[in-house]
Amino acid sequence: MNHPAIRQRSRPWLLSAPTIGTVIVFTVIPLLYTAALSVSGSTLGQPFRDWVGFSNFAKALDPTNVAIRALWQSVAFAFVTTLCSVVLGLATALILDHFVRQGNIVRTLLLLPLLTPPATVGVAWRLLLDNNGPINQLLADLGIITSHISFLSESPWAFWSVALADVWQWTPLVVLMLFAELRALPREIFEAAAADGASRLQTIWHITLPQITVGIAAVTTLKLILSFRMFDLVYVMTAGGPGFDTYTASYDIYRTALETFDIGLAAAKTLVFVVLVSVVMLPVVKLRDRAVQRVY
Amino acid sequence: MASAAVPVKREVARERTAPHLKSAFVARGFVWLWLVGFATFPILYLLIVSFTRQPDLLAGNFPPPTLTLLNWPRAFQSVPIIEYLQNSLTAAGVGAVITVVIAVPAAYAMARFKLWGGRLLSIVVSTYIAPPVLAVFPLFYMFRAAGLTNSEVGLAVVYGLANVPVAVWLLEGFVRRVPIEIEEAALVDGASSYQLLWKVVFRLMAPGIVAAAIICFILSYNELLVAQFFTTSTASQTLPVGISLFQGDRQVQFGQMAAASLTGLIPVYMAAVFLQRWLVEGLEQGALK
Repeated sequence: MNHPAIRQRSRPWLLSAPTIGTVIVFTVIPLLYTAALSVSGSTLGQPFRDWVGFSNFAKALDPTNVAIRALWQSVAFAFVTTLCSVVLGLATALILDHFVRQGNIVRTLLLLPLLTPPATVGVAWRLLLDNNGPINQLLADLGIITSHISFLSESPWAFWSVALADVWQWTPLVVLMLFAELRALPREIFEAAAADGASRLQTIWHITLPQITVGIAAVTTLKLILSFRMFDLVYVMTAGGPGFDTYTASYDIYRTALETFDIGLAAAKTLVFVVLVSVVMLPVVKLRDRAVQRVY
Repeated sequence: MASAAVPVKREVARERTAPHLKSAFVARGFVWLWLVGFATFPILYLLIVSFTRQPDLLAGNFPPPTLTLLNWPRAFQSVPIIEYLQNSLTAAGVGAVITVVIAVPAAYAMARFKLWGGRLLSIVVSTYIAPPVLAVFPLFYMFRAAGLTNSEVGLAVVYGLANVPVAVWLLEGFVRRVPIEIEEAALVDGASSYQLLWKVVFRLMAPGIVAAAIICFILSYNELLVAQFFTTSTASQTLPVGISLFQGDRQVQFGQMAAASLTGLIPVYMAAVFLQRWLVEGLEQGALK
């Protein structure tokens, strides 16, 4: 598509310049700045007080410190919620595609969780899962539990409660994206499969799924990124508790910066988190690239 | 040949649906149960909570024996919801405009020309992987030096720039859908580069631009972490911050909190239903590449 006349006239690098500038201001400078903060004794009021070397990194990586636990919990949270969202979302998209071909009302309803601010999602689930909340009542009325469960202040329930709220919020995104993929598939293959006497499950497994691998990989990547960014749900639902059960890296960094005002340590923790997220995301992105190459 | 193929196709189609009518019914029921039971009930529950008295809520009397209308006016009294709503709308709205202005030309350039062997797009998108806390400190000091903390304009600039990678990712797909022949025809007709972009390309991808703008708007409108860092005064705080402020009280007034939350949700949901076609198209664009 490199039409020379258009190329010469539209000056692609000039058009991209504002975006490249934005990326530099938002990623490259912050990275350097955060690195500078992390090696200087910085507080919120006074950045760059004096050179402290790598003592902040020693603190951030100290295995006895809760920061390490927060990092692993961020990874666990991202993978658990992504797995649940993608499996549930894929199943829903397949059912929608097979049985509810148009589904405009369905899609409008699916927007609801996506549009709800995570802070509000957190409030709703916090009330629903409360000791005296409707979910406890329902479970007691059905005879499933004898005494009420403190979903938000008891191990291991708290972690799963926050995960549930996250899955509620983001599964609709998976459904909408995969539903679009399914709708774009050519119908003829399915008719051929049906003519050959393939069962519905065989058709899905051997024909539908291989065709939407790229879409599944794309949505998995996006969901993982969103999960690593998650902060609001923990902030509203559990404040990291009980103990440190739901203490994630984003929340840890926020607490270090705005509650102990130790910006230097918060910066060191941020860099460790960035490295971890990159290392975790690289294979996922590579996997997606390979899927793309196989298809196109 | 063609006339023979048609009845066969119909036969297959009928065979495919007829024996499955019962399972189709069950599946449709499952979809509705799933949606009503899972996708909407927390919001419906919040609506009930906003009309529930605090003692009933704490005692766990559900459904509440008596309802009250007081939570709504009290929520508006205890927290300046309208002001927060205005700040949220300004920050998210101005932010979305900034994002689109920066991202649209770049999306065009990256879709049409293999910049840096096509790697430029991947690099720009990959910066979105970095957690937002990374940018918070340096931007906070930069913006404080510029006098832009505690201001919804400052927040709008942060949101506007932060969403550029997502917007480029979404918009690039929309540019690809504009047939290049149209551009070539416009050039043959003697269009200048300005006319080519403004009158042909951007106009043809208008639905995509609207979709990307809405998605960026929602991301900013719901954002809490950056808003928490950048705003400490009522005059500049946004609704998610306002909602989280209810938590500071010794006893959280959940009814009021629910009323405040719903107040924030209603305008966005109305707008989204109204703009549904573009919004869903935009979300789907992410998958259809």
